[in-house]
Amino acid sequence: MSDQPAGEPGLLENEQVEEEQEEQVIDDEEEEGEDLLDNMAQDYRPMEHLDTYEQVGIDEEEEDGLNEEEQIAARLAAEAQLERRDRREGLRTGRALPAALVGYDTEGETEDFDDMRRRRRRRLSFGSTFSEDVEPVHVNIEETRGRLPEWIAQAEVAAEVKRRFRHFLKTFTEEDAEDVEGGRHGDGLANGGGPRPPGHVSRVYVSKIRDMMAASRCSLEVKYPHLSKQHPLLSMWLAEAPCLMIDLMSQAAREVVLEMFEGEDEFFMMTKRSEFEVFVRIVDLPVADKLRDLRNYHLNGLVRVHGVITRRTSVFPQLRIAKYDCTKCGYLLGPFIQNSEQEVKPVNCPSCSSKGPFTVNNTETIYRDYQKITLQESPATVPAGRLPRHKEVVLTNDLIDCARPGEEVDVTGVFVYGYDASLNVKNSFPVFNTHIEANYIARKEDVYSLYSLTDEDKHAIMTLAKDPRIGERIIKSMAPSIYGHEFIKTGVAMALFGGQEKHPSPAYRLRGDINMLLLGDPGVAKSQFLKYMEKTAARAVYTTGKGASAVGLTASVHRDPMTKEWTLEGGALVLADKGVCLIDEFDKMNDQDRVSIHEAMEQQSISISKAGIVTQLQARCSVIAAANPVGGRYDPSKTFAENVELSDPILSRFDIMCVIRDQVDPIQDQRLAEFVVGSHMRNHPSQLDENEEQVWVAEQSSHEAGSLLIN
Amino acid sequence: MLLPASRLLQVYNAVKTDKHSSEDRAVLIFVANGDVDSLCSMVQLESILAKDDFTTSVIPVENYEDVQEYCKKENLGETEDLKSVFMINCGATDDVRQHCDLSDNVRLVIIDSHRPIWHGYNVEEDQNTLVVLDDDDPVPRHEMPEYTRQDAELHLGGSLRHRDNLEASNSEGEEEEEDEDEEMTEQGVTDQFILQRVDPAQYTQWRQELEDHVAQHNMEEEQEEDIEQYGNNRAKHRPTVVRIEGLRLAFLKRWTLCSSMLYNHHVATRFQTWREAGKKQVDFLLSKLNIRMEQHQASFTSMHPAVEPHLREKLPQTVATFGLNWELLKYDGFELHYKNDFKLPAMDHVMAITAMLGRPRTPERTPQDIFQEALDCLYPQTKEGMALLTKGIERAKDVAVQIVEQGGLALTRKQVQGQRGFWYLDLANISFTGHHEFHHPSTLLKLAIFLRDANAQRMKSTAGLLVSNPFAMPLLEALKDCGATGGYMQATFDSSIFVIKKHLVTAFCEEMRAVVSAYQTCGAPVMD
Repeated sequence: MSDQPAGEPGLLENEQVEEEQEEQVIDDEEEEGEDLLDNMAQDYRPMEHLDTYEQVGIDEEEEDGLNEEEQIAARLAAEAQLERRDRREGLRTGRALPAALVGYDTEGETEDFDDMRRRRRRRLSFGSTFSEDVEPVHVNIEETRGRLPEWIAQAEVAAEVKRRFRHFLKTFTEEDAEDVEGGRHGDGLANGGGPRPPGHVSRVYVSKIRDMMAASRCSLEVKYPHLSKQHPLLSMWLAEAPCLMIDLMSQAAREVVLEMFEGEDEFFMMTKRSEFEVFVRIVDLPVADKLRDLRNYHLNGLVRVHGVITRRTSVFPQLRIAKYDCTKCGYLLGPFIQNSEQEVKPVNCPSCSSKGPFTVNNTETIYRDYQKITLQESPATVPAGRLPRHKEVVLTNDLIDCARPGEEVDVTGVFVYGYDASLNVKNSFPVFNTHIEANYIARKEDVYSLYSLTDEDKHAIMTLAKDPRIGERIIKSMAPSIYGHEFIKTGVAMALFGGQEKHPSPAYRLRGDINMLLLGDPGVAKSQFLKYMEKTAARAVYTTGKGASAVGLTASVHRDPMTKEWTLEGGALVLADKGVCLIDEFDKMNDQDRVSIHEAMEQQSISISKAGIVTQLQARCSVIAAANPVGGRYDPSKTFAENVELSDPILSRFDIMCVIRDQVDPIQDQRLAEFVVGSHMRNHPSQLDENEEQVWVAEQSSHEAGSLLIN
Repeated sequence: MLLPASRLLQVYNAVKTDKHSSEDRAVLIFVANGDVDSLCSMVQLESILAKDDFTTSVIPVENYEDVQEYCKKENLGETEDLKSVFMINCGATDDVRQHCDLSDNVRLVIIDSHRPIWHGYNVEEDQNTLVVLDDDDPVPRHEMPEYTRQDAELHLGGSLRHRDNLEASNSEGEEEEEDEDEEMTEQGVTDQFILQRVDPAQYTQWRQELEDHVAQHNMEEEQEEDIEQYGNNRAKHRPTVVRIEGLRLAFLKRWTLCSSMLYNHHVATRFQTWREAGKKQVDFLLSKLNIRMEQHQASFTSMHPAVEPHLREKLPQTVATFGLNWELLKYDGFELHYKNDFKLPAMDHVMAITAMLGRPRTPERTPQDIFQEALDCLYPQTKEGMALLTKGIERAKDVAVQIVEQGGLALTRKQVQGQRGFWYLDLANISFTGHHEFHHPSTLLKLAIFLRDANAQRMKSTAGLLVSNPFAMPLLEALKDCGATGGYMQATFDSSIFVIKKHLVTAFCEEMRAVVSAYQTCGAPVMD
């Protein structure tokens, strides 16, 4: 795991080792609490076995024969010789790294002085934006002594960690990234995947910083595999002591950003009246844990968990750097940097020595945003026969509101404990509550997000748009695993794309979303269509008639557990705003519940007036419902309205109504059966041989192309 | 004859004398309906004439056909009465007298900034057709060829783009300065500068001259105020013109900084801001200037007050690293101030009025209505003027966005066809969103300039940046070939914009292609 190059240890390294041994002795003494001043005189007592010089290498006679000038000349000549030797070995006296650290700058290979000069030139040509790093400290940070957090907290070690991380940010190239990712292009790379001109070096994190600043974000996403490739030690420490390491890395990243964007901090302070900060976000942590597997050995470590957000609180200001006023003398105390575990308060006033009371100074205190979300295990990962567990996740700064309830997320963060009095009362034993302090949240939907459309995507869309058969192609690509039903597929495509919303006047709005009702006999793939839409649409909420109540569909009012105030929580239709809401078994719903969505379907809003809250929520979504006819079978001798147990007002709100009948037709049934059986056979894991696999892949890619097109 | 500006007073006196012997005592002013330059000149001339109790009839005209039609209607060909006709920004490039078959009793005074001047005017004997030519004209008199009867060919001296500013000399010559003279003149000059019809050096020279005028005028005004014992801090209820050094970002104070950058001609062509990559580049430039997204995407008025000074201070050093030319982003010009809160740079004013003039002509909205509304925009101190000006600003913004977005899309889709030296875009055969707005020559010209520069940038060539166009004559030749059946006409008084019948377009394009490829192989334009 060491970055130290293989090779002979140099002179400097020997000295280093000796010094460290001496320090070790002193450290041991310190731990025992020995008073140095008491025994000081003993250091100078004569010790015969030590007070003699070794005879080897001392040429006293020769030196005695020289006068003073000659001695100085000889000394200068010797120093020049030493200097030459150091240069030859690539080490420079005074400015050199300790031999143990040489590997970090030489990137694992010994290089001569010329190489060093070339590298320096390259660093200069890299742009006048970067100055040389500060001189490295003379400490071997790999030899951890004591507990890791305490070791990292030492100023010299911290400085070295920052220096290495700065070096990583400035020098990590696309080639390195490709090595890590096995020839694949990493995302966020500067050139977007085109062939690179020879000699061109693209630095991954420099371009990421550029993008970050261009988008006015303050989160720098660092891929864990990249860090572990170049600096395995840092990545190990990051996993073990993430709080400290992320803090140091953020500071280092801030310094790099400020080197690239001069004056950013001053101007930021001037315009936003807060300090300019950069947050390092750790992406692609290789080890993912399950929420139910988090144990005490994960405490204070970096974890990555997957789940669904079920609840989200509002945003609170959290004390970050507090200043207090002494109410007796008016003296301003602080700053006190607050941590998430407990409040740091002054004990007594240095001015008047009183023990308070102290009040928080409103103007000088700095806050940060704070939000809690509840993460629940996603249904697919829950072991059979168990209930999903949940855990609270704390979001701060720019992570606030990055995900909404109902979304599947991947949370990377620090697993920490917090004191909870009620828990102790219940269990009558010192137990702690645990939560995750989020460092990075990846949403599943981000893959299809509209914001990630590149020029190439747009070009592909333009090319597709030129195809005169594009309409047919889109319809064909809808639910390709379902046989036939061209008209329903057309309707589904229309509902997914949506229509154009119109505003003839400010007071009048015509909805653009298309509502669709699928009415059909059992077993005609109605639910399959809904499931397909759930997977394809950019934003979809799936619910069933029996599992949804009126408030569950619209919005509920409940008491916030933190503020104890009445707050609104959006239902399925609100969550599906600007997307589709899929309701299966629509006919099984209570009439009262069904009435509640009348407003949402036509006016596309939900009006609430209860518990003192009078408001209107937006519900601009397409409602796609599936229902069975009265008596289970569609009777063609009756009218549509007679066949379905739905009231006229709700029927009038559907724009597309499809009847799917299971007609007896031997030829059609034969084809259908062949299609279904063929589909089963093709997709059976044991039947996938080489050729079929290729066919399957081709089918999937066409399916995905359709999905992309829709999104 | 070509009349030096110094003799303008003499002509004016002659016009005055004519007035007494004329029956209706009216002066006709033909004014080109399409550019701000002519609008301002017309206002100046009218105010001068009003001082001497002239009755003026202003006729906005779009092209020579309009002039011809009016002359026929008023029977100017056979009039017995002594008439004086001023032509503003029209008439210099062609033989108007012959076209309109004017009587000898009609005295034509042509004040036109279009070049080249029809060389037939360079005859000393013709005292009835006077073309005013200033001493500092970019195409001075000695460069004009002598007119000979045998000389049947048009001579194109110099570039098609070189033009003149005569209204400045006009106000100087008359020595009767009105309050609004500086404002109008400065807008005229800015108009020509924005539409790339004068070179920057010429613009700077005229601007400096105007600067002295403005300084002098403002000083006089201040003295007047002192005499009237008013405090200097009172709201100015008369529009004043102030010299400014700012940024050449259109509508910066009425838009967002980001939009102003994205749709700036220089930035758009350089970064290709219709593409995502270009937009990102602009974002990066702004982040390099330490301006965060919430600042540059907010409207100018809600931006932090520290941003603008910071931008001005840091932009000159930063743009060079992005391959932009600071000279093309800075604006040395004038600003119109009214009361304490209305400030409008001349550049924005001109663009707004041009946008108003460039609206499509419909039966409900005649050219006269458009001219009148554009004229009202010159007076922001009136309620109607302010409302129309705001409308014009919004339209100008729309046009700027359309030009960059749609023009850029046309380039990306390779709809700009042709070859090196000759490019064309056929709007009729492509899906060009908002193409109904792209009817007026001024809007089309802007689009063409944008496409030329953007294309040159894409091709990494300087092919579009002609100093003297070797294809001016072949263009006319090609047009004449098409025009054998009367298929073309000059769209405006600018001799570089033509209207061709739709069915002749293909033939014209083929002709031009042949000429250009012959030029590229032989090194000189080949004419039939």
